[in-house]
Amino acid sequence: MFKERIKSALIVALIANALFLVSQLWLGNMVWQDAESVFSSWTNNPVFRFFAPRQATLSVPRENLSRPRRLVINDGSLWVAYYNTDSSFDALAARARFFVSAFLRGSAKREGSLTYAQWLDYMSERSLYAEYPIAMAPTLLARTMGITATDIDDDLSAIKEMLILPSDASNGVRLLARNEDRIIMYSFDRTLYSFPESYLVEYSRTNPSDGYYEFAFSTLLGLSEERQVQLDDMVLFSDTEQTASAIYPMSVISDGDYSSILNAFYFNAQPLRHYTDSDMSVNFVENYATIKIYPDELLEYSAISPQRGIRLCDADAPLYETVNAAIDFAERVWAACNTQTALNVLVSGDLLDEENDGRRTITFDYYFDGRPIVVNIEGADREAMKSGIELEILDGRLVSYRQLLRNYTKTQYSERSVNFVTALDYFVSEFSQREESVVIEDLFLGYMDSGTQEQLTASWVARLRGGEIYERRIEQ
Amino acid sequence: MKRLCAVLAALFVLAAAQTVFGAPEMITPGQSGTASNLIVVRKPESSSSATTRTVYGITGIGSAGVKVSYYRFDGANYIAIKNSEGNVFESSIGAAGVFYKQVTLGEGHNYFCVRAEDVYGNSQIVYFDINVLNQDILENIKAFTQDVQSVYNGWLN
Repeated sequence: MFKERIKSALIVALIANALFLVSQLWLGNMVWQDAESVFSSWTNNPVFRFFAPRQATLSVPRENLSRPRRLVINDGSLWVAYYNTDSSFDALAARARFFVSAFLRGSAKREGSLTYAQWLDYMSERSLYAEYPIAMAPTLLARTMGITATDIDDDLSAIKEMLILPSDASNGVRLLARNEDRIIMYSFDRTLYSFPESYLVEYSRTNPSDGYYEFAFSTLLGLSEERQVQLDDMVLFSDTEQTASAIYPMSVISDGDYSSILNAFYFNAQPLRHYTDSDMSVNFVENYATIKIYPDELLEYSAISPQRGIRLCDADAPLYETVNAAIDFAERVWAACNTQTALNVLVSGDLLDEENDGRRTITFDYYFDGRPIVVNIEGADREAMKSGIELEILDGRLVSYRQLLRNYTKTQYSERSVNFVTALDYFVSEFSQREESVVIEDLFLGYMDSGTQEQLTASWVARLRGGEIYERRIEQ
Repeated sequence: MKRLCAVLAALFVLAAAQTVFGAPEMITPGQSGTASNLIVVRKPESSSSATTRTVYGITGIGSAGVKVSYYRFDGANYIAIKNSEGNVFESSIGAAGVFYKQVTLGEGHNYFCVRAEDVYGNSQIVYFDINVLNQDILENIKAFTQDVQSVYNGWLN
């Protein structure tokens, strides 16, 4: 009798296992040549989707929070730059991440503060320089790397740049962390951590670009000059002319169908109250919020009061949870646009752990092929928009959300740009008319979307100290 | 006689064109310009310098409108560095007042000159030598310096 029961249990288990494996094969896409299962109508059913395990999808903004914007190897010759989109970036980023995460865990010994002149001296040595897209509170950077706590906050309130110096005959691996004028040096135990100089020399042979780079300080073009228009020491440039594709800013709202986007903001009332302004912008009104969509597809959500905004996270949520909630919500809106592409944005404003009365503004910029797309929308009848996405969160509630709804695609046209020095000449000529002095903090080839162009061509963008941004297309 | 005059006239026109329309293809060692205040080469900082770099950015400052060309010594003369079209590479200094050119260096002495010319035809030539040191030699010098420093520190203590 007992044996019979064991047999029955075994048969039931085998049948269940067979059914499970067959369902995995049939409901998955692996056996279907057109990558679309014949059971897709079942799998797309909301009931099925509710019970089905969620598939992990790539979140570009979340993924890029913990990754440097660029890594620069000083191989003893010039600098070789690796950008996030380069194929050889990942292996180098993994090596940098190993030391950065060890440093955030507290595995490095604090050696002391450095002066800016000492920072520049170390920059000129063989080293690996990592620059993050924004200045971040160390606790936030640590959390993005899966580290629950760090005590680096006591030394630095934010980190944007790090310099990793390889071990040599007399020193172990050293790491310099910098935020503006505060620079601290840390050292790793040489018996546990190794980073040979030869690694940098070897790796720099995978140079992904045509030429080598220089920092402004190394060419004496920097701030040491007493000029009306100055260039920040840390501006990185190459003298090669770059080629960049023109791109189309595609609409993401199909045939005036706003329903899925409205659902993303929990606008579910039927029928929805809406009206059209004289400028053809469409306004949707709900009990606690309004949504306005301009003809150029700038979307604006406003809660009628801070207490009525959409709950994103707890009122006292740490910075990491708030940023994650902001990313989740931006991706929710993007998914509602049904573009079938990942939301290719990066956080653009600094994220610091400071007193803010529960109010936090989080901004994102679009990127295309690794180049930033600077949004610059101005208008007499609406607030200026300088980022791709802008969220205002108060006590964990979303009180304002603005997004220029865009999906950028490549055109067949590409253009060769003028070189860095020519672009610098152009901006210096333009800014020298001003009365006050100007510091160019960054000068790069990117795109600018003012909401009205049919096609965006790559152009030089100057970011000034203080946040002003200028874009100019400079003909060769 | 007529033919000789024609040839001489043609040569004169070509020579005149060279001085008016662009930088020369070649500069003979010791040749100097007619001015000394058109540009200042900021890097390298002196007429003879040493580096471990094999790619080097020559940079300097000058007045807007001055044209700058670069020459490398081939053992006999200074030969102009060309652009991708095969013409003498020449850049105009703009409003930023800077010029910059990346060059590749070989181990040992690398002799260069930079020629600047303003709109009035005044020219300036700046000569310099960049000596590329062998990295191993430099490492040995560095190690030796550190050893001496540690011995000195030991005496002090």
